[in-house]
Amino acid sequence: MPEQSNDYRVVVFGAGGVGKSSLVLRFVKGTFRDTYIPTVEDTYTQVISCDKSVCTLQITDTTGSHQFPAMQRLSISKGHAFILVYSITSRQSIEELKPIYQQILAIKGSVESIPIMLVGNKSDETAQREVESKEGEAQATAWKCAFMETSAKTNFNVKELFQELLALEKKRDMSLSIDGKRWGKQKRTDKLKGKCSVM
Amino acid sequence: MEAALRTRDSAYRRRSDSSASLSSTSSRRTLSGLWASRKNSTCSPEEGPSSSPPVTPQHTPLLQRLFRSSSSEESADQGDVSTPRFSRLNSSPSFSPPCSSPSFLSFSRRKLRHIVEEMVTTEREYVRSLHYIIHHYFPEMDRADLPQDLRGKRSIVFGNLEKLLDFHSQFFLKELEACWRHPLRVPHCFLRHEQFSLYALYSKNKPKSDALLASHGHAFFRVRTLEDKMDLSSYLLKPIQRMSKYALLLTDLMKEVGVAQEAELGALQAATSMVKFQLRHGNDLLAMDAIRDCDVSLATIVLHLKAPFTDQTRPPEARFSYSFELSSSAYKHDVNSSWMFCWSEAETFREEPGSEPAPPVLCR
Repeated sequence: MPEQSNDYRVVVFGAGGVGKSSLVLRFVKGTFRDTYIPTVEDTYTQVISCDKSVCTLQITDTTGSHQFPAMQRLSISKGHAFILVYSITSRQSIEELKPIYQQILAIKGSVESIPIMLVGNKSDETAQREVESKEGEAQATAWKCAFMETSAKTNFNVKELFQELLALEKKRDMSLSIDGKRWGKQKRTDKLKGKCSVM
Repeated sequence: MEAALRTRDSAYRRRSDSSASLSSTSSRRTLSGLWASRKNSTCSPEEGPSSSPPVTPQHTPLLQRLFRSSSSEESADQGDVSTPRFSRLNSSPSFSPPCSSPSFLSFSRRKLRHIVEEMVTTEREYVRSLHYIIHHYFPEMDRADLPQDLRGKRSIVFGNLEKLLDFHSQFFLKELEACWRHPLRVPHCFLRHEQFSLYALYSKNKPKSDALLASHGHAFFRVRTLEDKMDLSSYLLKPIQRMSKYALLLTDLMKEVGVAQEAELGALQAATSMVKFQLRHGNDLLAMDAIRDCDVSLATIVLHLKAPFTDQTRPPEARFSYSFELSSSAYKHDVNSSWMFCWSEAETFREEPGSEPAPPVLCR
């Protein structure tokens, strides 16, 4: 179990190319670059300010990680919250999350008290959609975790994603306080009602 | 200007991809011409001998280069159309390539450069982090008010981190930086050193460090976190993540190197195997320790053989077979966390996933 500390580690998992870095960059810097394609998206550590706390986002590319589960375990055991990202345009990418989820479950014992969010990114690319929202939701229900579709490109649900993730943390009072920024999109507030504290 | 650069860049890429098409021939001629203007040879930058002087744009007059590049125009429309990365390179404050002028970039395939760029920038960041640990957290261990349980435990808290820092700061970073102009020399930086075995040992020690910090260290070390917003645990994870990153970056490099460049590809494959071997070795050491610490006797641990027994890629000195996968915790015997393990000199047990935990079956 990760200890209580000032440091709140959010581990972002996902196969290569699903947009982990794009989501985090969009969230942290408010930008999206089509041309910005980090070759590898792991070990991206980003410090963001949470309420009274410091939040570190660690992006871990799960490509090939299944080969080294005991190593992966070291990262998972240090994580406080998890974002599992797949691309709605790739069925394979959601499949790749399954062993990761199982590992989180095994390491943490139970996921009840662990904030986990299943994220279907690239929701703007409707023409290439391979994974329906319902399937994502069903998977999240099976995993007892939260679910959201996002688009880092159009900035859809990005802040909401992090906001809701931190709201799921019951052990301490977590909420985002990004300076001077208001929540952009309110479209999904029905989904977020009661969880999202709008600043 | 940019269009011309892109043209030649794509010509380069195409050259690596295709072997003997007309357009690649024309590209080669273009490149040869470019090189000839400098050193009267038809070597490409990557293939050139390491002793060759670095080629800088000043050596080739701009107009001449622009003029020459137009001869490969026919390949431009088929080439890569992504935006050149000059802006990103130049805007990165921590990055100061020895030669960052746009025209220099056109000498090399953009993608390869991009990967090496990422490798170098993240390496600098990594070395900085290791430095930070050594300079800020190491002295803490000498404090008079150090808790009793932490006394003399520096090597457990930090593992072999100091050696890692020495290696990366004194050798590896510098050598990687030297690859800035020659992306395909990167694998040799990896193959030159044996210090990557430090990572397996670092991984092996990590659970002990975690346990010690969890029980005693966090209250003591917490003071430091105010300064840099990350606590010691986050820092100590970095070597673990770094090694995985090397594997991914090398795999990416391999994708960009065409089969035509056999020697380069071979070196990359060797480097990737080496990194993966060390990752696997660390993984195995962790797995073995987990078994040792397990309160269930070895015989009752569910062992699941998955991959073929004999792993030809495994060096003989490896003490146990790598053809297994450890999926989860030994403490739970549910289907999802069954162990897969086989020992080269011990019996191997096997259980089908999905079946009830039954007495292990000897399968050899």
